[in-house]
Amino acid sequence: MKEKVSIVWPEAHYRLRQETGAAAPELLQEVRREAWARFVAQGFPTLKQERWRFTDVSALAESDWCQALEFAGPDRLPVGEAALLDPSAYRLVFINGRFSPQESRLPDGAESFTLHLSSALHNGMLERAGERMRETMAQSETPFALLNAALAEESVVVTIPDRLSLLVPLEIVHHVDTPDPAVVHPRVVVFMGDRSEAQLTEIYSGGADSHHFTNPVVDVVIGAESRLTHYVVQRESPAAHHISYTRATLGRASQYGRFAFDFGGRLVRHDLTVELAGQEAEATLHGLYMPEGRQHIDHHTTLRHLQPHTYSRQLYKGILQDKAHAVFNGRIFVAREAQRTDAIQHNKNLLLSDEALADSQPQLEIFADDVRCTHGGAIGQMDQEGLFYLQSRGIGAALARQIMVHAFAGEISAAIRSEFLRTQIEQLVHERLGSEE
Amino acid sequence: MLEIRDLRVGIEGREILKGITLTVQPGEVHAIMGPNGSGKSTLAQVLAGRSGYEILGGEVRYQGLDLLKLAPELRAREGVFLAFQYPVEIPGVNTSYFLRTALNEVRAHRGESRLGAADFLKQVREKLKLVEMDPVFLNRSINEGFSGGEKKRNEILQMAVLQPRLAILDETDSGLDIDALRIVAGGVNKLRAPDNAFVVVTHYQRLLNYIVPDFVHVLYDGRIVRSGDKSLALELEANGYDDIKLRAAQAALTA
Repeated sequence: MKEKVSIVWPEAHYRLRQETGAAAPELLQEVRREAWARFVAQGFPTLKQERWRFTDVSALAESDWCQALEFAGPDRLPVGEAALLDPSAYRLVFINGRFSPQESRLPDGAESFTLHLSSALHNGMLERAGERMRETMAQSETPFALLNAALAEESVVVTIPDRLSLLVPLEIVHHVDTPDPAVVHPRVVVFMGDRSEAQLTEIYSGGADSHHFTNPVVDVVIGAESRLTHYVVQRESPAAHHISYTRATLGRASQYGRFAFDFGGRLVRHDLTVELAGQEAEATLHGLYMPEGRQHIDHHTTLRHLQPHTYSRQLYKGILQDKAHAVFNGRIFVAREAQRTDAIQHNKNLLLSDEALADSQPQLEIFADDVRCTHGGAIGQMDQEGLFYLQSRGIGAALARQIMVHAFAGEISAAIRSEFLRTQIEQLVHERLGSEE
Repeated sequence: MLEIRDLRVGIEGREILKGITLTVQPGEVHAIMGPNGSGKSTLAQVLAGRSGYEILGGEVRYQGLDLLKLAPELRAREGVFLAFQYPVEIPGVNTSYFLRTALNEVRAHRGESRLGAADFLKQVREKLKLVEMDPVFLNRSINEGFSGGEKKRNEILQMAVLQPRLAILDETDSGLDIDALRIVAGGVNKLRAPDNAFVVVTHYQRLLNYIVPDFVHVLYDGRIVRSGDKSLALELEANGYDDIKLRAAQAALTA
């Protein structure tokens, strides 16, 4: 018999959403209803489910969440947060789930790309976005993506036309700070045409002690020979819950570069599906997570190699302190026709405390016969040989440890192409670990 | 400068060094030779402060200090340097940053001011010439992807930058071709001075053609079984270690 967790708060929120969203286009309402029906059938995951056996969401399921939208909240970001945004970027800022025109910086209409809220969509765009949302909802393996589709109030839809190289980064910022525990369901859909180029940065932040739940779904379609660099910087409060679902579909000879950084969150879970749906598509994924205290950070990635000559690289690194727990599950699926697939996956965890724990699991499902698929993992304490080497040159033990840890993180931060973000991430790493000098 | 008295060291319950006594004066070069497994590398590691060894007895005085009580970094700051047999690769740590940090730690200990990046670079460029290393190595991660010869030259470079009083070379010749050996030995010879000393640990006599020792000690089964001048190394080269092993066995029988 399947054990069910109560869905009291989702039911209340869904009833409310049906009222507030009654005027939405019929297509979007259909998607919402279908998502809800699927969610009710699945319910919240339990530890008995294979993909959730390390991540316990029962407390989250049973909490009494408000909708963040209920709180009027500030309409400006705290000064400290605003300072962490790229001054050159276009951005959409949401505070407690509500769009903030004051903090946002939109293209002036002369630009050929668009940043739209779903409520302002019409004609072909509405149909395209709605159909994509429906498809993503239907194929997602996590009930939280269904919950997002059922409860999300507003989506952001970005379209980048063929042959446009967007030199300015696009930032999508979600900041939550509510007096009572509250939930937001951010949703982003990005359509890139052929031979285009863009940088997308998702930023999640919150009040210092804010106890909230962020449940984003980000959906990306990359056209032929296009290139998207996608950064996710999650630096929410140590009490926050963050459960995300990301789907990226890569066209022929396109390139998807992704960096996921996790500093905040009490309970964090990321499900990522990358579909290499065109020949010679390339995905290069990096992750860096640095939990401390009792933080729990879980990455589940799925690389779907669907066409020949596709390429993927994954490097996920964790630096764990105190009683932190990290989970990495990397699934690589290679379809029968995806010959000459080249897929490599690495997960490395550095445990800085005896009580920290990392679980790492590769999962290869290969149906083609001419492929190169490898995975590697390492979970360990500090490299004692390296430490002794530094000390034997006069470098004090504490500094030597810091140098070693920074070097471990440096492999990821050095790969960041955006100089603005590289500097910022290095700063966040320093703050988390203590500075070198 | 260095006085080792009846040093006994074990690892995982097994005694490796069974009573080593050795005195090194400033300006001297001592070669420690011996077959594999005789304890040569253990002696080098213990002097540099690697953890994992048990000190079972004896003591080591270095410039009046109880060396074995000092943390590895304090030994280094006091002027002890170990050139590693297997230099460690540390991805992500820039060689130049590493060298400058180490030098500044040593300088701070000596009461000298910190060197800025520009002054440091000027100094290190001179030292690079000593070991015929390309400055591009400074911008690479420590030893990462270096060839065997490059790693050993990097050890000598570090020695040249830190200017130790007592340098211990652990099998620095192993895995080197003749050109690399000549460069490494040349670097060492240029650093020889009346106020510093070298302990050269080696299996083969070859290195001692280039770094000429004042004393040669033969370590066998955790003990110094013979000491002499450089001619002892030549004798070992001619006869191998069998004679040493035989005599040790006979001594054990008569004991």
